[in-house]
Amino acid sequence: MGNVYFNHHLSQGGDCLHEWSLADAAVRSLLSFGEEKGLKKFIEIEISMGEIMEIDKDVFKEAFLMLSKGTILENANIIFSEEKALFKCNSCGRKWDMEEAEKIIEREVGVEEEGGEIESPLHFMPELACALMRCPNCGSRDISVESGRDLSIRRVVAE
Amino acid sequence: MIGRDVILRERFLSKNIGKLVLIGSGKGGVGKSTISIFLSLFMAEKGNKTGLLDLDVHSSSIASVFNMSRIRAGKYGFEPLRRGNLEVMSLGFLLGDRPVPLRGEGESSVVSWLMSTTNWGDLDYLLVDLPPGTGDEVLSAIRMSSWMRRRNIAVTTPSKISVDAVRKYVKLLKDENVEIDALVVNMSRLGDLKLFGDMELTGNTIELPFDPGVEEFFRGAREWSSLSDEFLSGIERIYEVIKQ
Repeated sequence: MGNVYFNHHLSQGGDCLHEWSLADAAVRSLLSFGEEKGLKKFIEIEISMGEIMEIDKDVFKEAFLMLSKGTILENANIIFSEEKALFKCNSCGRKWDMEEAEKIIEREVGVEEEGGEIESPLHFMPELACALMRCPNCGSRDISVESGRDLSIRRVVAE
Repeated sequence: MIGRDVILRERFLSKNIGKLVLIGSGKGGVGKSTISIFLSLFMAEKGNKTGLLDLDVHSSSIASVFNMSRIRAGKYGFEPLRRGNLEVMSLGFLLGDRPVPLRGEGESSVVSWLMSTTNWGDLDYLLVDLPPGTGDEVLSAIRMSSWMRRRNIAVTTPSKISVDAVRKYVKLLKDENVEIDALVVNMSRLGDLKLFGDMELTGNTIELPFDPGVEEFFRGAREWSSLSDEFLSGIERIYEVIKQ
């Protein structure tokens, strides 16, 4: 069995976009990491996904597998975990989760995806919560995203 | 451990951008966006594949000039507005005229994200309209592009308040080992340059006169003929500096 590496941070605050874009970032970062550590082969990769980003795991995995073909990432076992979303009002201190956020997101603006679906910009970039919703308690837009916005690689087994 | 900067650098490096042009200033309202827009239009018309990225996340003004009904997310990122040789991206395309009360960390994240996830085509030049001041967004943009071929344009007006602010901006860049390639004095009148006194600048100082045709252009004419020869000549001089 190879070495285990923890908390290889991939992105913070929605730096990447679509599943393919995210998979591309993951592959590039892991290959850099592998090169830096002198790794020959990845065996297992645990990827944590922020709930806000609403990443389609199947699409992400398909993209990841295609992009990693012919590299030391090929044939690695991919495990997914999810980080729950939590928003906080900096004005009154109220906190709320994704379920409540979905009810209060303002839908006047959106991003058109390839299939023609309109998605809230929040899912592409969680920091924009302040522009897309108001505190359900006091109405302030001074909102922080406490968790659920990142894509990160939690653990890697490699040799 | 690999931080966000490394990941974004890799993503940004994967794009084929010939030269990055940072257009910044010490304060708002000096005409950065106006100059960025005219430069990008001018450079595109000269046959250069030109990108224009609006990083003024709090008060994006470029989006109001380039109409775009809805932004589209493709397989490899957000698709910029494409018109001939020109590609444009702005947070304003995404959020319209909504207020964006981002705090420091959020600002940096938005800037890094916009720079790295826009699906630019192959570009000769990418012009970046920076937000005013010397905050997180400006530092993020400087860091993200430090390994690229780039030109740095500082913009001011002849006002003492603006000149004092641009001194700080130039000093910040110098402290980060970034040289200013040109100082543009916007809405200038003959003789205004004496206001700058002993300001140490490595680069060219280019005066752009106040031109009522600029507003006429934005309000609908969209014809170069509405601009004065002096204004266009100033834009061309900035372009010459960028080309070098």
